[in-house]
Amino acid sequence: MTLQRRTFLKQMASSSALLVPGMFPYHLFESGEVTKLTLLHTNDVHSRVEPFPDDGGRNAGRGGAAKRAQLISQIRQEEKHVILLDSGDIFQGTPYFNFFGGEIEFKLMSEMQYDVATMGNHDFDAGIEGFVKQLPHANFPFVVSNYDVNDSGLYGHVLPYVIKQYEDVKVGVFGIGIELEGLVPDKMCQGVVYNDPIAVSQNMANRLRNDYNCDYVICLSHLGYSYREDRMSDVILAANTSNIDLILGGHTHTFLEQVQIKKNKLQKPVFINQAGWGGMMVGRLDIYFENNKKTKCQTCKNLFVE
Amino acid sequence: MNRTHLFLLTITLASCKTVQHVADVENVNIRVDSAYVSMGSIDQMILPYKAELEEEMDVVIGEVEEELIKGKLNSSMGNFFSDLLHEEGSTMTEGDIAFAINNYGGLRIPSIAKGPVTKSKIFELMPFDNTMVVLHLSGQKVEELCNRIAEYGGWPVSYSLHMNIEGEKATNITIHGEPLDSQKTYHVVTTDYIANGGDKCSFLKSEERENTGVFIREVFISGILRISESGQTLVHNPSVRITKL
Repeated sequence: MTLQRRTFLKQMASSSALLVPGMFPYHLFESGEVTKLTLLHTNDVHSRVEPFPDDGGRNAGRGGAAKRAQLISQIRQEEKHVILLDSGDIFQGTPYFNFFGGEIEFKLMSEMQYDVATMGNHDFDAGIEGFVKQLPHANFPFVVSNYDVNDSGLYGHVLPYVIKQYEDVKVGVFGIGIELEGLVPDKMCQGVVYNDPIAVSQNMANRLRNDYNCDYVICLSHLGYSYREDRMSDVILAANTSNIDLILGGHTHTFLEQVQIKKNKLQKPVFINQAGWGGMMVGRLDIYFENNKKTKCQTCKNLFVE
Repeated sequence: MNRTHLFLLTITLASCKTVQHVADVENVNIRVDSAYVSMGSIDQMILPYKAELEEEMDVVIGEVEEELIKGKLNSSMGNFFSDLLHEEGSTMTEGDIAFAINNYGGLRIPSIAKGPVTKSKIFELMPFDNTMVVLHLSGQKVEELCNRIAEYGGWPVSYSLHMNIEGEKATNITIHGEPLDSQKTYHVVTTDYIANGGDKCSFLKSEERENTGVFIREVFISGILRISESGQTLVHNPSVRITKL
């Protein structure tokens, strides 16, 4: 170990700071021991193609695809590895959807180079047929793991998971949808069978981690952050599973000021984030991976939970 | 290679194998506010869609006589759109309509200004593709529905329904001036959202119904056009439907 690194570790030890930018030993990138992945994500954009109208309302001027694209493009210029994800409810909420059926939403996301998305309940608002019809405008895949789509029109159009590789870092992404009954009329989601998010997530996470050797496992969820009543949510999913590193949520339109860190069922940390709705927020997580022996990590911070 | 060698080799490989540790995570959730500039190429992509939309949406469909304001009880907006739903429902179905209801949360904007009203305003009022449903309800189910309305503190209802709210219960319910009859079947116009059990109306889920498949938004637009075409302005009937005791 070089002296420089020792000094750094000493500094680290005296610092209890978590998630504070600008503390990372950037020289380790050059040696190839550390890989940085910049993760950007949205949810519940709800056809907000343009910024919220200037009508004196509290959201006036916020959001808009053109501003989001500019922001993402800036980050792409600064960072080597960027993954861009969406947690569903891309459709519905402005006349752009009612008139064009989701075409412009998918085109814009393709232009921004989204990597993977999952489906929200409103993505069924034009029926399965309506969704599938727009898929040629999306150059990114949809992951849907807990809907059994074998007997539905979605068959062959969505994937259970996607694996992305950034240098030596393998990232697995799967998707968990909300229970459709009561939210989506039967005829709009005909043949889609909802399966238990906990069982499916555990299965997916185990497969991605153990069979496909993913270093980082992301669940794109449209369950909702948490509820007062006893209802499946990201917080419940996090506590009852293992092998998931990060849950990127949606549905509850929750503006989280900061990513939340919870314990999973093995008392290990799970991160949960959600970026409001309407394209008014983009979540950003910069994840640093150190390639080292299983029991050794020089730069690891104690990413633990209260 | 014998079994022991293979075993040793496996051990050696395993001990040399490295993993990717998640060393650190930095986070900032960025608010996309007016400080960010727009990407010109994206604006260009949107432009043709926007132009087509504006052409469709900026059409004036009627003239509002007096500002329509949303409220739980007998509001000008609630009365106007519930009466419109009632009227349009009668033209689209057989049998007499008992009354029409919108759930309070279903009307998505707080007011519609006096003056010309465009198609786009009705889209803002009803952005979701909810459809019109006619429920065939027993007197007892109507009472349950009225109790739900009372519990909420009032919903927009059409002119033919009258009730009081006492505590969280509906009392003195009359329909077209007649007291509620438990033996009668009532035809109630509402949205598929409510008929499917939304907004705590799960007691309606398995009731007999007729799905018109027509968007509520289209019902409103065609109703307003019909009024305008007859040379009239859009005037709400201010009659009191629900009285909170």
